[in-house]
Formats: sequence, structure tokens, C-alpha cells
Amino acid sequence: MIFTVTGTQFPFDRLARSLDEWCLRHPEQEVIGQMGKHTFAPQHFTAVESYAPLEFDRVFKSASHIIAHAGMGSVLTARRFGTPIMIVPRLVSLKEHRSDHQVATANVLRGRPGIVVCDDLANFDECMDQLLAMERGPVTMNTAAPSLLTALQRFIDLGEFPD
Amino acid sequence: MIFVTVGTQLPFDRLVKAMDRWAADHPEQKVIVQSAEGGYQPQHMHCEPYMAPERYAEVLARCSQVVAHAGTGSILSAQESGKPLLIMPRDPILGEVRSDHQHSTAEKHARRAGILIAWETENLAAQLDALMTMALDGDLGEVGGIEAQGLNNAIAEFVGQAPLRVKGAPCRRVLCACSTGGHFVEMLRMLSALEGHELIVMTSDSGDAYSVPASRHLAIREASRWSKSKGFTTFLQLMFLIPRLRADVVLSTGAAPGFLVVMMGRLTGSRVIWVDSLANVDRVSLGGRLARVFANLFLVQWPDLADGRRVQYRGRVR
Repeated sequence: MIFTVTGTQFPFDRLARSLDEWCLRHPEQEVIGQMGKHTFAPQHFTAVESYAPLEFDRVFKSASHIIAHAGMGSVLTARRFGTPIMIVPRLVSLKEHRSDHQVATANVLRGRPGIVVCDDLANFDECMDQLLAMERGPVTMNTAAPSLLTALQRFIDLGEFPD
Repeated sequence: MIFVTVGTQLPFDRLVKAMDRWAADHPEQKVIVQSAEGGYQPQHMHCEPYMAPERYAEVLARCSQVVAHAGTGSILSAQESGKPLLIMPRDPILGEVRSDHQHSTAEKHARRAGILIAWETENLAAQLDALMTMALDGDLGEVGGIEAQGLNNAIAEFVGQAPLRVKGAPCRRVLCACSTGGHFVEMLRMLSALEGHELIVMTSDSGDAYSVPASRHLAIREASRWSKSKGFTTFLQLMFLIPRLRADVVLSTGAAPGFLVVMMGRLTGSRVIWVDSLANVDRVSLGGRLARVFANLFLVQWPDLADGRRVQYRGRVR
């Protein structure tokens, strides 16, 4: 099952449309989407506005592949479960977000294991092929770097500003 | 470079042979083996039957991955070095060891982060593939970023625990405040640093309470600079809440509601930590730029954004 996550803040109809067309051509693929408040209603995959967190984790865990906007929440969660992920950055020019930070995020994530960056939905099909060719990677820990945890602990325990 | 070590007591030709086959298939990988003088002569790896302690330490420090028999000495030294580790237990039936203790050692380590087990040579290649991605995967930022961290951190990383708290430090009330979604995913990854303190987690979605069962969760309204009226309601709500919570420390990952909590927290006597989101790669977020005025500790997650003084980089939520 392919799970699509576009955050719940703003609609991302551009991605929903491309995916819907892809689903029409690939009826054998089961696709579920948490699409937020989308204005476009997909016909060829199951779209939900928002899952409760418990249900969200369950669906995410059982997905073989993830398609998402270039939000760090989606990327970190995919890494946690070792699930291959394709990310599509939201663009300010199309009023999909408040700033273009998702473009910058996508750029630093490009080429990392288990991540496909799709900047241009004209290449959606090739990106999907790349994504589906990827297999589940290692599960990673759901914690921050120990150096960061230590900095927080020392600050809270001792009031020390780290050097 | 991959370092293969089988200890010094007995050779382990089954592992050395399998690694040699793998090295033949992966000419781009440099492999060094400490082999304890078995009968088999590796053809595709650099072989040193025994290593002096200094040499062993040097190779361990320079390698990117370790492959070892399930000997406690090898496992401990690999863990201390902070390198991803693949272990294969010796088999007493094949005369590789006198008892089955390596099997139990391997089992004991099987669930640890950063350690992979190959029970048989048949699954060694697959596990090696996984091992190679682990080195790349250590951190979102740097390829092979594990090496960049200090020894203690590396140990903690592999044992999978946060470093120990300072002994005798008082229990503080820590208010963790952020928006739901990605900001909250990042916040969750830092909560292990707050063990032993009284936590209050405040997000803009009541559903997030599911993720923090052991502590108190408070839902606030989402505010964003796109919705001024909503923002004002949030402001009023926080004006009422924050002084009453009397947190010793406020920790936030953003965005707008996080900033409001940070500001009000600081003004009502809390010490304030801002961790700017991982999503901000080339510029600190707007909330972060505003929060900088109020934060006692201001952390970013990309080294280039740090100025080394007020704005610091101490690692990522990964």
C-alpha cells in the first residue's frame, strides 16, 4: 500500500491531481492519502482529510512506500520506519505554502538513501518508478542526536550554556 | 573502509572467506581483516593476522564499518568507536568456538540500534548491504555523520539511550510547546532528554495527547501569520495559561504558537530554549528570528546557520 501525506495545514491539489491520474493508470496499486483540506476530490484513490495520530501511525507503518510534501515530519517518520519516500516540495508561487523552505529542504535531502525528490510533477511517473523500485531500509531510532540531548539536559539541569 | 576482526584466540575462516567473496564482488570497498591466522588466505582484502593494540585502535578509528565475530571484546571496542557493527557468531558445532556463548551474545545484541547480526554466511551479504546504508544513514546532515560526534555520544547512540542526567539535579517543570505535525515530530525526538523532569506538552492538536501518555498534554489553538483573528484568540488563551503554568523551562520547536509561548514564558520568569526546525535549511524560521530575542538557549539544526555564540549547532533530531 502506498500512503500519501501532504500535511493538514494547506491543500496540495497539484500533487493530488498527478497522483489521481497515476492511480487511474495503475489500478493494481492500493493508494491511501491523508490530504488535509483539499479542494480537489480524487477519484482513483482513497483520500481522508486527517487521521487520528494512532490511526496515522498504523497506516504509515503498514505502507510500503510514502509520497509526501517536503515536510520534515513526513521525512522523519518515514526514516523511523525505514519506508522509502518520495517528496514533492510545496511552492509559494502556487500559494501552496508560506515560504519556499520546502524547496531548500528537498534540496538537502536529494540523493539520500530511501528518498526520491520530485521537483517537477511532469516527471511524476519516473519518480514513482524510482520510488517503487526502492525497498524498505533499516529502521532508525526515534530520538535526536545524543549531542543535542546532552545540550538540552545540561542546560536544564545546570543552567549551562554549552560552549 | 570496512574493518573485519575475529579476535586473537581462534581463527574464523568461515567469516573471513565469506567476507573475501563479498570483497571480490565489491572492488570499490576497501576491506582490512584481522584474521588470527586461519588456513584461508584472503585474496580481496588486506590481511593482518594480528594487530598490536595501537594498530587495532588506528584501524578502528579510520574504518567506517566494523564486521566482527560475536566476541565481547570486539563488540565493546566497536561500540566505543561508534561505528556501525555487523556481528556473526561462531558455531561450536563447526569447531569455531568451544561453547555456544557467542550465539547468546549475538542474541543479546540483536535488538540494539547500530548492530546487525548475520546468523549464517548466507545472510551476510544482505546484512552487509544494510550495514553500508547505516553508515550513510546515521544522520540526515552528513554522510557518515556518526564519526563526527564524540566518543561518549557515539556510545550513547549505539546503546540507544540519552546520556545520563546530572546526579542530584532538581526536577524541573518543563513546558514543551509547538505546533502539531512536523514541529511535534521533532519535539518528540527530544523528550528523552527531559526524563526525570515534570513535563507539560502543549500542541495545537488534542490528538497529539496519544503520543505523550506519561505526561500532561494541553491543546491550544493554532495560530499563524495568515490568520490574525485566530492568532489573537491563541494569544489570549496563552496570556491566561502561561503565567499559571509557572514552568521552569520552556522548550519550543516553533512555529507561531511556539514563539508566543517562548515570549510569554521568558517574560514570566522561565528559562527558554528554542530549537529551530530541521526544515529550516538555509535560513532560521520567522518564529525563530523573533524568538531569538527571548531565548536563553537558541539551537539550529544546520551548522551553517550557527554563529558560534548566540546561535548554536549541537546536532539534529536526525
